[in-house]
Amino acid sequence: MVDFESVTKQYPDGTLAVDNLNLTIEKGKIVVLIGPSGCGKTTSLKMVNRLEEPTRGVIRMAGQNLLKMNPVDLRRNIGYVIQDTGLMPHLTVTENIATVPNLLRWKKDRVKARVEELLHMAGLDPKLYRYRLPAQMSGGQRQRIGVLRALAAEPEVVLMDEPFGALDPITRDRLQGELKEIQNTLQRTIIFVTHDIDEALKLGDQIVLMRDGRVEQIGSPEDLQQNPANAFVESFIGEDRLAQITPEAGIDALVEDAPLILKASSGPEKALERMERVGRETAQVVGEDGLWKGMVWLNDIKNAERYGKPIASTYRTKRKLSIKDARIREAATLLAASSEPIPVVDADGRLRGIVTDAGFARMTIARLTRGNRRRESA
Amino acid sequence: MNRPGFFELLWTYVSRQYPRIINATIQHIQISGTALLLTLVFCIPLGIYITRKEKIAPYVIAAANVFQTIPSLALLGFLIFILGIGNKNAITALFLYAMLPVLQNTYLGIKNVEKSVIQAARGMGMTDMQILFKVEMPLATPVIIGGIRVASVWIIGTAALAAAIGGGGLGQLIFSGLASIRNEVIVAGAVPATLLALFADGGLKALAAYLEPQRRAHRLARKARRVEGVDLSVDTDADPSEREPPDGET
Repeated sequence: MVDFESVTKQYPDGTLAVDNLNLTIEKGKIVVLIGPSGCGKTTSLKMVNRLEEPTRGVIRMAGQNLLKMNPVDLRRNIGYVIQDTGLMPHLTVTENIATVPNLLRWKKDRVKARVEELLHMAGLDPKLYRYRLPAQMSGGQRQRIGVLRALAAEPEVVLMDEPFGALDPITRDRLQGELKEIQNTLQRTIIFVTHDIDEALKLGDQIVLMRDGRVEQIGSPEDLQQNPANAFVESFIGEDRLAQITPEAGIDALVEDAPLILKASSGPEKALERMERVGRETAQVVGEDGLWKGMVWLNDIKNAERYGKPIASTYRTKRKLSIKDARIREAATLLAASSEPIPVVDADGRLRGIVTDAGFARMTIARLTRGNRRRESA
Repeated sequence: MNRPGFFELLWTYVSRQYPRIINATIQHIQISGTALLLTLVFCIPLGIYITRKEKIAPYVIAAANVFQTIPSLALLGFLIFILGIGNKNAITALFLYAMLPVLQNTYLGIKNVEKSVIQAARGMGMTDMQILFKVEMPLATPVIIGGIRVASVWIIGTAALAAAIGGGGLGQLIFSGLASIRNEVIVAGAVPATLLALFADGGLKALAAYLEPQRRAHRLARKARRVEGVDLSVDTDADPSEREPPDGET
C-alpha cells in the first residue's frame, strides 16, 4: 500500500535523518516504526503525508508516486493522529471529527451520520459529547476523538505519531485495546510511530526497528523477539528488558527527550517567552557547539531579566546524570530529593535527554502491567 | 441676586443647544469610527503578515510603538505640516496613534496558537488560507479584540483633541467651554465622549464573550435541541467537566 524506495532525508545542516530507507507496507496492516529518539521514525512518517519532503528516493501509495501528487489532496486522503491530539480547541467534538469530511465538501447529512457512527464506535454517547469542547474532556477521551477524526473520511492509510505517548499507562493500555478492535473491523493500513517497545509488540503486525536513520530489522513481533538480527535489536527488544531493571542497572530506559531546549545565545526574554508558552518551570540549555550548558529555572530567569543579567548566570550544572555510568539508584535518590527533571549527558558533555519522576513512575507501572499481561496470555 | 447653579446652567445649555451636542457627537463617532476602521483594515493584515516574516516583525512593531509614544497633541501639530488642518489630519493622527495595540495583539494572538494544532490542521490537508481563517484567526480572536478595545478607547478619548486643529467632534464643545470658562459647556462635551468610550469598550467586551468557544458550543447545543427536538433531559448547558467520571470509568 505504501512503498519507500531508497528514501533519504538530509536536513540543510547535514544531519542524515533517514538513510536509504526501503520499506513495503502491506494493505490492512499495522506497521510500527520504533527506535531510540532521533532514529528517523517520525521523519519517515511525515514524509508519507509530505509534511517532510525526502531529499532522494520515491514514496508510492497504491503504486502512485506521492511526490507527484498535490500535497493538500494527498493529506485529505490520509488520516493523521499526533501525540498532543492537535484538536481545534475552539470547535466542538462534532466539528473536530468532521474536519476532513468538511474539507472534502461532503453533504451535511452524510457528515452528521458519519460523526454519529464514529462516536458510537468509540463508545461515546453522541447526545452527551456532540457539543463538548476538547477542554471539557479527559486526555484519553481527547485522543479517542483524535483517532476518530483521522478515520472520519475513511482514508485507506492512517498515520499515527506517538498517539498514546502522553497518556497515563492505564488509559494508554485501554486505547491500545480499542485501536486493535477498531482495526479488526476496519482493516486500514496504519503506520504507527512509538518509542515504547511494549506498545509496538502489542499493536504491530510488523515492526520496523530503526537506529540513526537506518533500518536495523523488519519483522513480526515474534520474529524480532525470537530471531533478533543483531545485538542492538536484542537489547532493544529484550523480552525482559524491563524486568532486568534493578537499582544497579544503567539509566538508558529512563531517559526521555528534553521537552524544552534553549540555545545558550538566547536572551532571558526569549527564554521566558518559550518557557511560559510551553508551561515549563525548567529547561535545558545547549550551546552552539552542541554541548550541554546547564539547566535553568523559570524563577531564576525572571530575576535575570529583571536585573539585566544573561541566562548564563542562572545555569545549574551540579545536578545531572551521566548516561555512561549513572545507576537507576542514583536517579531515584536525586528525584527523591527534588522532583524536578534531571538532565542526562554523555561522555562528551552532550545532552542526551532528561529523567523525570513521571517517567520513573511510568516505567514502574509499565513493568507491573506488563507482568500482568504476560500472566493473562499464558 | 441669585446666580444660577451649575446644574441649572447645564440644563439650560443642553435644552437650548442639544442639536449642537448631537451633531458634535455624530461627528465624534464619524472621526473615531473612520480612524478605527482604518486601523483595523491596515493593522490586522499587517499583523498577520509579520507572523510570516519573523525577521521584520520587531521593526514593524517598534515603528508602531514610536507613533504611540509621541504625545498625541504633538503628533496632531506635526501632521499640520503634511496634511493641513481639519478632520483628515485628525483621522490620520488617531490611526497612527492606535496602530500599536491592534498590530501587536494580532501578531501575538496568531503567534501563540499552539503549534500542534497547526501541524494537525496542515496534516489533515488544510491549505495555508484555511489554516489562517479556520484555525489561527478564530483562536487569536480574543487577543485581537482585546487590542481593538484598547485602540477604540484611545481613539475616542484622543479624538477630542481634533478640535484643536480645526476638526469637528465633541472636542469643539470642550475647547469652547475652556475658552469661555463655562463649565457646563465642557461637561456637555466631555460626558458624551466618556460615554462613547465606555459603550465601545463594553460592546467589544460583550462581543468577545459572545464569541467564546464555550458560549458558542452552548448555542449550538440549544439550537440543535430546538430544531431536532433532541432529548431535553440531556443537560448540555452544565459544565460537563464537573461531573465527568475519570477516564478509566467510562
